[in-house]
Amino acid sequence: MFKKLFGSNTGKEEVNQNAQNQNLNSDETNDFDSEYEETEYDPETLHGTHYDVDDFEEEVERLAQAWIEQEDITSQSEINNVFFNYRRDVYMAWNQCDSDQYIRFDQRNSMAHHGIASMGNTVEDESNPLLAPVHGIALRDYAAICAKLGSGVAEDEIYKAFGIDATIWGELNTIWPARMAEDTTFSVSVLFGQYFGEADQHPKLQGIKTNLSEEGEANLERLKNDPYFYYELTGARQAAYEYGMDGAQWILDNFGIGLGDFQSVAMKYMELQNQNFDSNVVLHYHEYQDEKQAEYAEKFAAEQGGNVADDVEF
Amino acid sequence: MFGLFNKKDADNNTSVSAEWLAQIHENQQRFFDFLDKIEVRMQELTDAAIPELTEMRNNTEESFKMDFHRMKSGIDGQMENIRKKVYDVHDDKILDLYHEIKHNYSPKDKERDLLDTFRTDCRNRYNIFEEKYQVCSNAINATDYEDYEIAYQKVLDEYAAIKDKFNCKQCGSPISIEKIFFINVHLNCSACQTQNTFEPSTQARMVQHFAQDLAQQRAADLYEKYQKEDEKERFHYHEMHPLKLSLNFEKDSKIKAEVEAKIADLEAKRQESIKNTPLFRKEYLHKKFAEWKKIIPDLADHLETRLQNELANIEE
Amino acid sequence: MDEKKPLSFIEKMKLKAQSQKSYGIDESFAFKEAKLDAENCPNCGAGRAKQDGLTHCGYCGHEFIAITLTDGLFLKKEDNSQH
Repeated sequence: MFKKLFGSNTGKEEVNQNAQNQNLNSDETNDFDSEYEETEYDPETLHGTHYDVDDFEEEVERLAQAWIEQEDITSQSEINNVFFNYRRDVYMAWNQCDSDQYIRFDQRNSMAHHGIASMGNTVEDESNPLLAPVHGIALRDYAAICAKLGSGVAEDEIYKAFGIDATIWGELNTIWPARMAEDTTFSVSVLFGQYFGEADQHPKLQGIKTNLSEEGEANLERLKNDPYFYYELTGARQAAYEYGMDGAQWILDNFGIGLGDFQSVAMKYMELQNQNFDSNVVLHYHEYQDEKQAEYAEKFAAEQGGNVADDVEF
Repeated sequence: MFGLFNKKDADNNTSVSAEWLAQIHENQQRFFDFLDKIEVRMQELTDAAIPELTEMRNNTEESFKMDFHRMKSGIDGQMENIRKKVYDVHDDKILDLYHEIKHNYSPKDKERDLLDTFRTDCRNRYNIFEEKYQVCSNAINATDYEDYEIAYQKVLDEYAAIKDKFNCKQCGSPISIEKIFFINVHLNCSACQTQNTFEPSTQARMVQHFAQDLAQQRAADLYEKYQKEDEKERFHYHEMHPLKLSLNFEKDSKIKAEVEAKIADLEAKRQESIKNTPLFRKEYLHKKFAEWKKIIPDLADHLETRLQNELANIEE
Repeated sequence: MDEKKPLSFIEKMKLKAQSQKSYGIDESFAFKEAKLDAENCPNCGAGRAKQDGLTHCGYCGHEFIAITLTDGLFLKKEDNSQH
């Protein structure tokens, strides 16, 4: 059953560098050595290169069908589960990898495995009618417009940049969300998210600046480059909501960053997290965010004179 | 943490056991008192919050109800804060103590039973708190309710009032608004052919966004019917479970036959629920989407696609 | 312990909720009435007629909108100007 377990060590592509360094603009990658780097992976499919993908599929099929027959499974969701489990087992056995590598593989092939698009792992399929431009406005344009409107850019300025008017915008802002809701694979929504994160790079928006203060500009730059700052503000915003404040407004008031710009950066971090999935890194930032959220919560509690049950003690 | 246990002597635990028995007794009492007090506070918070939240939710002046949402979020935050406090106290004063005693004294027999009872009693009391928390939390969540028929009726009234009110900007001939539009639309003047642009009011624009909630409210009866049917499956399953266990010890063949008949009856009901649940779900979805299409007929094709997607997801 | 604590607490929280600005919402512009408007060509002043299409002025060819309309909700391909 085991094919050639160890691929050649030459010409190895480090496509799955762990995401310890989630710096958005930096090219440097942190060498977070993986114990499992003996296996060489195809950069597209993340299959090990020491076996044939067809052989892999055949093996999964063989094991799954045998189990389905033996257990007399008929429900489609249970059948899907059987395939899911064997695909994981075979992948981890053939590649001698850890579960993080398997999750990266599963995310990368989410559409094929689950029929569902995965953030950061989805490319636009031009034959998909749900992705055809509406009144000449493609999904990438629509997402960029939403990001900028969400950060307070005037509507007229946006309409001018894209050569549309309020009437056309009304149609776009009805039809694109409707397509997202119709799409059972979530491709439209996931691509919307990916494009939302790239709004700044949209060629038609180059002349348009969000009306940011100098401080806001600097903070936005820092947000893009410093994951700790990003997770701190995410925690702070959450704490603000829990203390009866408008978290988005709080970020704007205190850091000068609009919600559209903030979410745009959030999409980028989410993409990186999916593409370079590493449970230790995820946990690390998650704990950091919780810690910061608790710090801000304490601050907000003090500002309102404490929490309602502070005086009830054990 | 509990320094008094450090002088433990594992071989001679009869005299020390009195010490930890007193400690678990004290912690249990304090835990119960603490929960009594914090439950009162939680109830006071809920009672004080609900009328305010209800008033803010129904306030017609603030069209987006943002103040309500901020307030609700703040109340939820306080509720969460209470829940976390209880969780931490239970973890710290009950579970940690339990594990510490177990580790340091390895109590056996009757003492072990006492220690386990301490944990179970505290856990049960904690569960009662959780139930009360859910009741409060549900009551607070229930304030976030809007009867969308009212908003919709306003839109209908507005439409009746404005549909024949407009004239062509170019020649002054009347232009009637043929239906409720929820986005801008160009209308042609039949006299001079000029394109006029109709811009719906803020409340008419909202129709697109609350249409689903309104349709859901109109199909609430069938939704409830479906939910109830869905719950029956687990309910009958749990009813059967003790009966099945009792059969293991039953010697009397007559009683055995009776129990078996009961089980068969429950299983039939359970199967009935499994059969009906998807049918009831479809029934509910058909009604919801039919209502939804009635509210925004311009999106009927799109809604039909979504209905078909939902129906395809139901396994029979 | 102050008997009225939750009540005064709620009062304070309500004030806080009501006094804040909501992100992206200007309440003074929140409610707009329905209206009907027509726009003349900013270049030549001509009115815009249905048969001329929506994208360009039927008289001087001025471009009103830069994109080509497809079949949307109320706007259709036929609404493109034939210039």
